[in-house]
Amino acid sequence: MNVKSIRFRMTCWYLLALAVTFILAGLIVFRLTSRALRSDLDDLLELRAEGIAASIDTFWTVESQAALRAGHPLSSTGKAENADFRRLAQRWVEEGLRDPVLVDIVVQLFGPEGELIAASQALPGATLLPFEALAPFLAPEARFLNIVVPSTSGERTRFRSLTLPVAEEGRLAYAIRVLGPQATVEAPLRTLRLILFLVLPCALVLSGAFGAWLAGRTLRPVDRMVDSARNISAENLHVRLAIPDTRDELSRLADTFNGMLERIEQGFSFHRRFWEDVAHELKTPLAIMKGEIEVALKTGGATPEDRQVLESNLEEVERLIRLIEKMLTLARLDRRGAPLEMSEVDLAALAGRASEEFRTLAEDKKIRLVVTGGTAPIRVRGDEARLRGLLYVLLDNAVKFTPAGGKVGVDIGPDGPEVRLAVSDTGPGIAPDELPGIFDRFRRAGRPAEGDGFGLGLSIAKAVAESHGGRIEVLSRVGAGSTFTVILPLFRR
Amino acid sequence: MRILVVEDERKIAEFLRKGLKAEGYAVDVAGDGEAGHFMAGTQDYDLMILDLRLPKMDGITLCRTLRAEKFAAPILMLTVRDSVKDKVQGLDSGADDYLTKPFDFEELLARVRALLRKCGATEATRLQVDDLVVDLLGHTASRASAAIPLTAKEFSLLEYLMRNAGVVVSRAMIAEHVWDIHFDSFSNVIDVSVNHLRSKVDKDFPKKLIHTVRGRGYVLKA
Repeated sequence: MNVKSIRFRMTCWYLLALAVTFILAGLIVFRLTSRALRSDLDDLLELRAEGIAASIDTFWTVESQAALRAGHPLSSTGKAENADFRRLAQRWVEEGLRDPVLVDIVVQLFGPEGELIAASQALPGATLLPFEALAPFLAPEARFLNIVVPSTSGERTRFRSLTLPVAEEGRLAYAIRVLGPQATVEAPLRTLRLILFLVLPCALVLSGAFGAWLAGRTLRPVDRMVDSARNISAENLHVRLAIPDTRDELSRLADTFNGMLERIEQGFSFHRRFWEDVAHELKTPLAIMKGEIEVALKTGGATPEDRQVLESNLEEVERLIRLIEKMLTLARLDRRGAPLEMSEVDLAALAGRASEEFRTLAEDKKIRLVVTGGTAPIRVRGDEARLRGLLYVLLDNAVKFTPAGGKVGVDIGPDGPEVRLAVSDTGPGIAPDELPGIFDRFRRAGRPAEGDGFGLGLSIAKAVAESHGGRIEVLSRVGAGSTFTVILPLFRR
Repeated sequence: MRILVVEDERKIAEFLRKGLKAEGYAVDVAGDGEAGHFMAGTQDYDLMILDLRLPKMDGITLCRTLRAEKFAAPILMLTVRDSVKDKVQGLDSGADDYLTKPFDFEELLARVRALLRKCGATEATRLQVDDLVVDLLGHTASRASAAIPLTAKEFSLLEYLMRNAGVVVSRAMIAEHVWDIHFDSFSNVIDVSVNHLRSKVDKDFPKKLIHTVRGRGYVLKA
């Protein structure tokens, strides 16, 4: 995927926004869950502690009344500093803690001085209340503490503790401390964290893929437009982009683009018509000049000096006429639906015949003309006269620019669905910086100006190849020669 | 032989008249289609040279009208438009031949001769200039009874020069009639081919038959 493409960038921004959202949401969920779980635990501890306090009170009341009825009342009904209460408390811890609701909860009972009276479970290192007198019976927020207790295996177990002071006549009678393992909070939080860490990347990957797909889907009309726009050249300016039936930004873009194409096409066709009209307008005066000179030369009466001037003028007039003809040819080839006389042409035979016609010329210049390939017919669909003209341009150039003793090669052969016809020479070659311009009109790429070519020959050759759905490629090395290859689609029935 | 030139371009009509007259034809000129129609009806012409674009009545219409009125003389049409469509339209309207402007005057003369000949004598099978003989049926050529070996292209070239014996043929005419191609750089090919033909025809004989006419082309004459 192209890093600079809108699709890529859109996906990246989308992913970034999603990641930030997911992380924030994850943090909030985690924090809220954690707070809820902790508050649940605290509530539970509070509930248990109050339950225990009530239970112990009831127990104490029942015991003391039972002792009174039995005739040997307890030494004191006050709970603090009362050995009976301590005994009872220890008994309550042994019996009362069988209650299933108290499983997992450690209960400790402390005397008013903070000394441990009874404990449901020995917790080494947590046997003392870490505060003085608990008076005035702990502010509500100070009742809760986090305690770390080293376990036997050396691990540290974290507890949440609630200390509930029980008052009696304004004095601290005893304190109940309940400890719940923090694990009940931490285990779900760990799980939640794990889920969030697993789900987030997965969600991001999925969303990323979805985002890329969505961006691709949104931008597909753009891709289609790019494809069609790429296929539009000067030769098929009539082609228009398909306008997506969405009335959105993209359809507006396509519409605008089409409007621009329309104007370009008008400009082009005006340009072509202009040249065609100019060429035609020039033909009549040129016909007059040519005819008058020819008749004057024929009917005589002129002095030898006049004749020379007339002959020279005639040559120039004819040169102008040829130039006009070439311009017309180009204007016609440029025009859409150029009037080509299409038929099935054996390009191999055509190349063979054209080469033979240049053989005498080549041999006169001591140039070897070698034809290879093309033993079997190679059929293309084309205008034979124009294709022959194309071959003549290439052969003429090759012979013209090859020095005596050199070689001109013609090679023809099918290549997949195409036919390649290469005309190579051992001429001076074309400098790399001049190569791109050799098919331009009225330019003769640094080659020696010989004959009266107007630099239109190669433009015509190119136009002919393109009007046949083909192209011309050129390979050239300075000092080694050039190869012009015509590539045309093979004829298919 | 009387020729009617229907051409609104005064200068073209003028050099046509002058050049044709010099060749021994009697020439009348009409400046527009209606005048051409009128003159064609009053005089007996052997040939008509007709411009396609004319005021009052265009060439195609005039041609159709004349043919409908059983005008029998051959018609050579002139135009600046040279597309296949234009040619077909011209010939369909009843013209016998078609020439695009600008043209070689010699080419015009050759066509005029051919058109006049067509309605007269039958086609010759043997052409002769001096002691050079071309047998069109046997595709052989000989000079002073000695056979000249020629390639097919050389034979076509010689035949064309013989048919136009005594008349200058330009390179453009040779290219079009022998090679059937419009291509200016091709004149090199024609020069070389003519030189080869000349070496076969003239080399061993003191009397030269193929001559170069500077700036115009070639001529075969005794």
